[in-house]
Amino acid sequence: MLLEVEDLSITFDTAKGALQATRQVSFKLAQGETLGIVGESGCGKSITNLAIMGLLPDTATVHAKKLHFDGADLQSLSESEFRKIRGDKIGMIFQDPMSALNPSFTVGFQIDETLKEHCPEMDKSARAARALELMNQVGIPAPAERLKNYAHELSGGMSQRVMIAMAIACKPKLLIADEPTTALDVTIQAQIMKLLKDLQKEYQMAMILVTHDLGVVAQNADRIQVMYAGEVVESAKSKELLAAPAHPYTDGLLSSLPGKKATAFRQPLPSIAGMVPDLRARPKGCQFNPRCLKAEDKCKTELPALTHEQDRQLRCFYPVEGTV
Amino acid sequence: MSETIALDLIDENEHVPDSFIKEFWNHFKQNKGAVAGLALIIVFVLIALAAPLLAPYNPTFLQDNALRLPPIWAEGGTWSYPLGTDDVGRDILSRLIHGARISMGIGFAVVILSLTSGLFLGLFAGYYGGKVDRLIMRFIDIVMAFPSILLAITVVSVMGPGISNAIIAVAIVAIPNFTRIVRASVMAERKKQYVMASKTFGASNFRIMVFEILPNCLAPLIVQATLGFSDGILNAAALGFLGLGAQPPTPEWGTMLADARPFIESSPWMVTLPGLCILFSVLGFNLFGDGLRDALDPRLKK
Repeated sequence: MLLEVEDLSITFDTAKGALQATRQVSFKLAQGETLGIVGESGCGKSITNLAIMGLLPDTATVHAKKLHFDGADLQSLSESEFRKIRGDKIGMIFQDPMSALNPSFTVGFQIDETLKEHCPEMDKSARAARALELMNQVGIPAPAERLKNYAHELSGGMSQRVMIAMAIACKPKLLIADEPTTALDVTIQAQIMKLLKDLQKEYQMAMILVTHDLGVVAQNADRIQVMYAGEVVESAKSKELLAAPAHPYTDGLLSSLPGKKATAFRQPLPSIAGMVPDLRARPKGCQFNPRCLKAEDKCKTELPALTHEQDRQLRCFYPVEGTV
Repeated sequence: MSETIALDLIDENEHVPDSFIKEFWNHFKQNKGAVAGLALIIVFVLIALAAPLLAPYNPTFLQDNALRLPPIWAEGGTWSYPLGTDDVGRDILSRLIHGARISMGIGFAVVILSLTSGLFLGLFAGYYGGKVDRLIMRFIDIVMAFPSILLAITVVSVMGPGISNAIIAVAIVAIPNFTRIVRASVMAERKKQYVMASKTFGASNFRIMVFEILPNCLAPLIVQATLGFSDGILNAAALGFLGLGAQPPTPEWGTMLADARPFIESSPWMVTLPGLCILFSVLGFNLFGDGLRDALDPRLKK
């Protein structure tokens, strides 16, 4: 296993008291595999990724039974050891590519910087050649000229390609894509996802794909993990999960997609009523119970455990039955 | 707003974007005052650089037979001393020319000193926040609580009068300006995503501070540095006037002003000329600084 996360709990120390951002999140990721993490905003998706990167703010405390990446225990790494992993073995791309590039420097300079940091054996001309190769690989037309451009001279899709080029510059083993296509328009989205897929195959990278766009994960992820209020509520192979969602939350997410379920033409789309709970005042029992249509008394007092059944994980007493 | 952005993009695709310097100059030259300020600065800097070549006499040489000669445009003026002589017979033109050298030097040293220390204090305060920020900013608040010239006088009285001590005193007074400006821009920049992105590429805190964030905070800093130049010249001249800065016979403008004060009625040119020099050099830097601000501030760009 490339990445093993077991019982990851992250607590933030805020002025209004402790806030548990994630509770007992566990997942595994093999080389070349793609894990899609879905859930509403504030479900702890991005926080989980930052914990893997070791980039949580000082106010956060991380507890995990296991947080292993590529044979290293991430919890025991010193800051300088962690820095060697970041950008080298783990790359990350962001939601808003326009603001993820430094406005003061050319694109070429920024790619060069990353290479300089992690590949000290490369000399200047080798780095320049690699930068050009990367720009070609991410499909940027006229790469030599683009290298001399500043971030504001590039379009959104182009900037995201540059970010991808920087993230894969050192051939990382894991690429974390935090909503990589959210800020881009639909045609570009498809191109970027295809690019990521191709690069993943070429470099044998594992990928964590965080998104709230179920369409994107459906096409690209091997496994899908649904998170709610900082907990994993359901996790399964993509096809199985999409074909037969068992958790009412997953079911709700899927039925709120246009054209997925048998909603009559021009009928209002079903939606999940209510909001993600305030993590400082979590509900008793199942975290989803205030919004759940199938909730019973048991759900309001007891937190269901994460059950494992073959390759599927589920946290629910009364799972949805039948197929979509 | 969206329309202008779209237009910009089209423009950039059609022709090669101007280099930064060219674009800057196009903005800058529209402000006539700023160009005049720049011209004044260039003149003063050239005079300062070429002082020994330009000055007709040694600035401290006493002409026994030519005390308080008036300048040429006044009755009794001669071409041998175009701007007259002072009460002990020194050529005022030569003293003013050498004074430019001293004032520019003081301004430069003050800016370098206060800029470097203020910049690093602001960088640390803004980037780390929390306790570091509180510690640094309370120190800055204390410095700011004193009227600037009073603080400078205190520092000089402790260390003793003289040019180098005056420079240090004036620089300390100027530190808060730089610290506050840098801190404010760093606090705005450090939340941006490119900072997080460079962390994910494995950059160290120092690297992020100096090589990622700082370059994005330079525009207001450059403006403040120009204005700091004029403040430095002005404060150093004030110290000189009070007898705490440059000591006689150094031809410093503020000191010359003080020396000439007793003769303000009988020989008014002796006070007027160094006063005008201070006025025009400070004016030059202020005009230039304002123009820079307009040209560098992206919000004011068309």
